[in-house]
Amino acid sequence: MKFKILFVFLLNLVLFSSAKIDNTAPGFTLKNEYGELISLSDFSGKTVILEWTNHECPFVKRHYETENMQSLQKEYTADDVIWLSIISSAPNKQGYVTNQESIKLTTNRNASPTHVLFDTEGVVGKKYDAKTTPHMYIIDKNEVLRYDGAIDDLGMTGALFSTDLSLAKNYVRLAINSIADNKEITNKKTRPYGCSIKYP
Amino acid sequence: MRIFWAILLNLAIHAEVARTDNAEISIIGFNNYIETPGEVQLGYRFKLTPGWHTYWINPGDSGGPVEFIFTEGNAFNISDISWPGPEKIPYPPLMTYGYTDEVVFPFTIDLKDLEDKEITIKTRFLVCDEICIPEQTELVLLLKNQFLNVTQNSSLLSRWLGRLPLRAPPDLEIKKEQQKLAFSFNDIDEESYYFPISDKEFDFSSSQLQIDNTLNVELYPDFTGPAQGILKAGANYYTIDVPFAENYSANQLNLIMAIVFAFIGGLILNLMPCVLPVVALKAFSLVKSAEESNTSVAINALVYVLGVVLTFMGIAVTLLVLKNSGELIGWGYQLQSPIVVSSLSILIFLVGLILLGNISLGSTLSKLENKNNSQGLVGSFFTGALSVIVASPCTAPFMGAALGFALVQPDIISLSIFFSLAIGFAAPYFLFAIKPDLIRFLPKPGIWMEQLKQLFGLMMIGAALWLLWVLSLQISADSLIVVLIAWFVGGLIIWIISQTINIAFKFGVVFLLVTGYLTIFDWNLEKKELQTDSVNTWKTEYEQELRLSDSPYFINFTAAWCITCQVNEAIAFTNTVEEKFKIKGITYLKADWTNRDESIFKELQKYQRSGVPTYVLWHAKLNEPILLNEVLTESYLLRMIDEI
Repeated sequence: MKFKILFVFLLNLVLFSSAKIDNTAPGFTLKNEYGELISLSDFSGKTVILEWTNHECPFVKRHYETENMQSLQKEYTADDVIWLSIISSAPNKQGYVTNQESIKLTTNRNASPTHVLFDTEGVVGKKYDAKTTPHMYIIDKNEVLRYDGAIDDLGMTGALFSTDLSLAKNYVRLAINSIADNKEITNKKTRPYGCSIKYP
Repeated sequence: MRIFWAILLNLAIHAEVARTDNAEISIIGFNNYIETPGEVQLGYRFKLTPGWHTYWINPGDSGGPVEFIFTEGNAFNISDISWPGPEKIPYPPLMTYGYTDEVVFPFTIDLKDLEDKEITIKTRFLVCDEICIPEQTELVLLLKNQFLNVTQNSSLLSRWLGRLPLRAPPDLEIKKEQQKLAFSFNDIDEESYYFPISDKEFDFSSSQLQIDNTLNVELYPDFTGPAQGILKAGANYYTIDVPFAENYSANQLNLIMAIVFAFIGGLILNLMPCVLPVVALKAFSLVKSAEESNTSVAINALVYVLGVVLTFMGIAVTLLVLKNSGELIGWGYQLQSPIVVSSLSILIFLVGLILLGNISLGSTLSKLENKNNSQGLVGSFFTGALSVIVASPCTAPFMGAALGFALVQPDIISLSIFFSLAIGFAAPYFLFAIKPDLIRFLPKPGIWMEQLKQLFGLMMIGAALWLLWVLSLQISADSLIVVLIAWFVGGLIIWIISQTINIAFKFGVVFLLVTGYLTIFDWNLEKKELQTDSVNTWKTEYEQELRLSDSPYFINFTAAWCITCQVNEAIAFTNTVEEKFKIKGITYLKADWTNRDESIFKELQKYQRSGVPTYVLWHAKLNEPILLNEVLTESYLLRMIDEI
């Protein structure tokens, strides 16, 4: 009997340890740009948006150069949504930055994430099965993973050269709206596009 | 002299090479002098910084495919590019698909005339090694004095044309078992890999296990098909395009659903016109036994149930044995055999006669409705068996899906579905077996039973006539007469048996009649010559042609012996629907499975079906044909057509 309980417990651990849509989002603790430890659980009761990023990736660049990403960040952080920009690039790989550089990047790009988090080992990225930059996730107030995928429907090459990103169908916005209206999200899992995450 | 001018002109328009930071792009061809209008094979050549790569149509986990944009019209009628077989470019834990160092994307132009013309082609692409760089450039394609400004490089162009995916050969087998895709082919080796077009099939980074000549791919748990992509095997790439699952209607049955449907289907089977009279007989005997002891009723009903279940399972086992021995059979196979149809028609006709004439057969069939003695029990058992055999032509709508599902499953699951069907069929009597008291609720016996019995007798003869019609589509007119004479001889035999005369004499006459019949008439029923060359006859090649020309089509998989099919055709294929077909330009194809036909069977299997009716609709907007419901109505059909 005891073994059975242990088994169920272990099974739960295994199941919950990787991200699955409409299930509890896997927890994590990472250091932010000021060296503080930040946990997902710090934000229970709030909607959390995860943005995998790499400032040198052309796809990410394009979303920042057009102010597309910043305006989303501003709009949602003002609305009490937590925005976590996560960098899973390993040291010496593209997109890796030090704390100082990251603070500077945020100022220079006029970005407003709640925190920039460093996942240098790639553990959290792999837990969420994050593949590209940008790769977006939305976790609702009950810590349930509600969205996993691309930022918009431009997809692959189109996103790089297309002139107006604001005309795209922004999946993050649609998902956030659906959550606010208590509706089912139409596209809760989409195909992420962009550069590969530079895991160690 | 001409050659001299040609060389001179050739020098005048030099081939263009566009350079970006990490790529050199040019258009290559077999020849740059164009003698006659028509199609010309060319290719865009991308020479990348050594070690760098660009992407296939499906880039995998990251990156993106190259794009070409024609800025001013398309005077050259430039085709879309073809995608040569890619290579794996892994970045653990991610996987991407593309081309390292160099790639040529073949395309064609179609010249209507040889006048000078010019077009600017914009191209956007990603070149990557660890990191990715988006680049774009413009190429000018020029036709001047019959010279194209392309680089002549036949060997390079041929090499990349040779990397285009080929049509999969017939011995390349693709199977889906549980959530695994298995490719079996002679040329499969450790280099083999299946590149999917979409991200819906499996995790790109999951490993593909090759064992001997088989390549196994673990699919996503929610994969429902289609599998589309290219398979690298040996030196070649092959196009893979298997629909596997059905997207529409409730055909994605799981086991529980299939079992429930089989049960309900079994219940409904009791009401089918060819079954009702036989089961009514049983019901009547139950009514008559109302005065008897409960145990007697229970035993009688139970034996009947046993007869039903054993016969059903007998059919199921036969079916599975045939299937496992490689015979191509689906549900309804028994009615594809003229011998079986003939025998059934005779049997049903005779049962009809017995009911109609209220003939007392002394020692034989009338015992079907007898009481609880040993002979009565034997009668009960055989009534059960008889009702199953008679029921076999009537595949109820529910059963189509359930049995179709059953036959493509592992044997143990097939058997449990058949078992559920049998139980459903016998359920009403099973109720009496466990609760004989219920019998008191049945109406009292009386003259109505005689009247009903006669009506049922007529229904049986009607069912026999229907089987004759099926036969008329299967065998020649001469053979049909042979069967009709068997009806007559059967009638004679029954009449003789019912007479009150010496038993030895009876058997003598019966023996003479049977042997006489068998010596005179040949039961090697001749196949009817089929006319299959009508425009509406389904053929794989014909369907393929329609697909290639983007014209929509509807396939009606049907058979004369399939009642559901006949009802559907009568109810749903109205003039309005026919009009709609014409307006929308939908080609109507009929795949008639009245007789055995391997190609139809294989086509049905593609949709994971093993029986008719099956309705398939395809139009240019769909990747794969969709399956419609098995029960058609006019409004449903119109709605489906309207979506085109």
